[in-house]
Amino acid sequence: MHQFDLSACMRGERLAQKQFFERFKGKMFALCLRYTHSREDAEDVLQEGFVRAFRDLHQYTGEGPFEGWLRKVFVNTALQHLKKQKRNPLTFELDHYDVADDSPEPFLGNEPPAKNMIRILQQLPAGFRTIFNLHVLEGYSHPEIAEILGISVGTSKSQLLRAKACFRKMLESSLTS
Amino acid sequence: MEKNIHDDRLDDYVKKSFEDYEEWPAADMWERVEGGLPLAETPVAAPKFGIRVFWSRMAVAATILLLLSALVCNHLYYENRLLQMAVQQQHKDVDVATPAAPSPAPSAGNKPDRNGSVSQANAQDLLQEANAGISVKKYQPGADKQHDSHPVAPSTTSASPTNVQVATTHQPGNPMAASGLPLLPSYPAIAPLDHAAAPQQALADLPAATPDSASDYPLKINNLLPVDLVNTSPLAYQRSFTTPIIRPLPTPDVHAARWYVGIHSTPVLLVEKTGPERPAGLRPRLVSTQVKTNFSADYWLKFGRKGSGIWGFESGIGYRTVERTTTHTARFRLMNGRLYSGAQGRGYDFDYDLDTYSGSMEVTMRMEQVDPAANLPESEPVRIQVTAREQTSMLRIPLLATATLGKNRLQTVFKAGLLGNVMLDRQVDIVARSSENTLLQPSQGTQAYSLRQVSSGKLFLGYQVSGGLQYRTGKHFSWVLEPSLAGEFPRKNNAGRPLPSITTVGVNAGVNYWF
Repeated sequence: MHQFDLSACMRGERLAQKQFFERFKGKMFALCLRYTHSREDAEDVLQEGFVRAFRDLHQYTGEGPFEGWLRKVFVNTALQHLKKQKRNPLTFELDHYDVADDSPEPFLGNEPPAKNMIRILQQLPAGFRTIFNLHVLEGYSHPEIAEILGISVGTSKSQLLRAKACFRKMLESSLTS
Repeated sequence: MEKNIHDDRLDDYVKKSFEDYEEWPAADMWERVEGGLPLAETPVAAPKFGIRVFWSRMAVAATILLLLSALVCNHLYYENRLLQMAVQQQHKDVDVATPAAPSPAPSAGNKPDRNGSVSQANAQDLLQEANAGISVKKYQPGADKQHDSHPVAPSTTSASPTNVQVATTHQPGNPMAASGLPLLPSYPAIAPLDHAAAPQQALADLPAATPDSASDYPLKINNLLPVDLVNTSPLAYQRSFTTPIIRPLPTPDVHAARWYVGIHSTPVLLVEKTGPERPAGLRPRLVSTQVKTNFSADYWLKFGRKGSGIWGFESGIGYRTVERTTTHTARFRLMNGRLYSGAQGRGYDFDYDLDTYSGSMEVTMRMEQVDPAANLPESEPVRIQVTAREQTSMLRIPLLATATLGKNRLQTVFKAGLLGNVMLDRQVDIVARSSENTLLQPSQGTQAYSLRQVSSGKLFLGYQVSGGLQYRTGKHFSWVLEPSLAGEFPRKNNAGRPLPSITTVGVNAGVNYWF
């Protein structure tokens, strides 16, 4: 992404904003799919994330890669979206979650593994999915996750262990079926 | 440990799987994103246009000032030049006369002073010398023997052929013959004359103090100076040879009571002062604030009178245009809106009052549910950030008391008084709206919002204080440079609500013509 494009986006030029959207929509939509329960929710987060990104573009100071800054915007948007959700609330007190009830769809050999993983993640409870994403794919530490989600570090660790266990079990199940 | 290694391998596998992975959203996603963005920011170019307008006006004002200054300088230059020419010519006239008369050493008193002007006393000296020189016209060869006290010699201050012709007569006893200097050809002999009576005879032969014919004298000022010099030069040179009158250049009488008119321009920085607002509720009362520092300029046609003392007054008429971008944020709950069911879905109209510098307005903003089927709670927050562009133009009528201090050309001027402002035109338009609630977005239709101006007084009072310098370049012109501070007294709209006011800081520059 060139600085010129960013400047044009900051000035609100539609053409530049559309080019910006086309450049990042694929990666950001994949991110949204990982955090949300459904494709429709992911599209809502994607829409809101781009609106926020264009609005807050001036806050990018040039420190660090731009894509990293943009991912943070979308992660924050996704988390706020999850907190508003009533159908699949973001809770972290799932001590008795059993993956046996949610048998994943079988993995198709001709599709990328990430697509199968997204399907698995979307079947996980929001709390598991969020902590798994934040720790494994975004690289946040437990104290950082605790601060972001407003939970204790112990809860973050325990939820991550359970999330990984569920994820692994469902992944193996999808691969073997 | 084994489990950790197993976990790390799972993490790596997941990371690697998602690395550069992309998934494509619905085809209409850009339209959805675009719908949530503020209105297209094409008007953003307008501030640049405004800045261009501002600087172009400044350029026009500067050009006018430069032209005026060029005219003044040109006038002063030729005035001074003509004076110098007249003084030089006066000396030449005297030199023509001096050879036959006693030729004292040039005295400093006969020279023009540093400014090229000649004092009245010097003028008298010159007059006497001129009168004495009249005898040259009737000078006779050999007469020098009888006037040893008035030897004929070339003037030490003149090298003009005319002088030489008159001075160097080739006659025995002429000191020039003994000097070894080359002598000019001799002249025809002139009949002897009663020497004692020569000066009187010469005077009798002179024409009266009326314009002379070109052949009367070897030098004639009218033949050397510009045609209208005698009539136009401030150095009023009476054409009579015997009665030159030299007047010094007029210097501005800075103490005289006089009227003046002037053209002034005042670039100003605008500082806004806003009143209180009621930010939320059923009908919020909001105040727009300018987004960034704004500049403008006042253009004045002024007139005034300075009394014989230090006091005077100044008035005139001015024009100001203010273009600025403002913003305000309206906060509601969904319950504050009026339900609207239109063709585009389910929406709500939110009403509020807006106070701006140009007056008050009643605003209705329409918000639409992104998902018409969704059942939003009554307490759902609605927050709308609105960007507007305002343009106001007004006439300004000052009435200022002035105090002028200083005895020289450079004076200090203080001014203070009232400013009457008449609002000529005001335009407010919304250029961008954005919602922070993704469930409700600003409507994009033709009835997306409405603005209704509430009538408010067009006349409001202000004040102005300034203090600066004035330079009197001559009798008629003066330059003015004054830092100034102007503001407005608190004002209210017809409903009694305080309106924002603007205080300006600027520098007034201009030129005055004194009568």
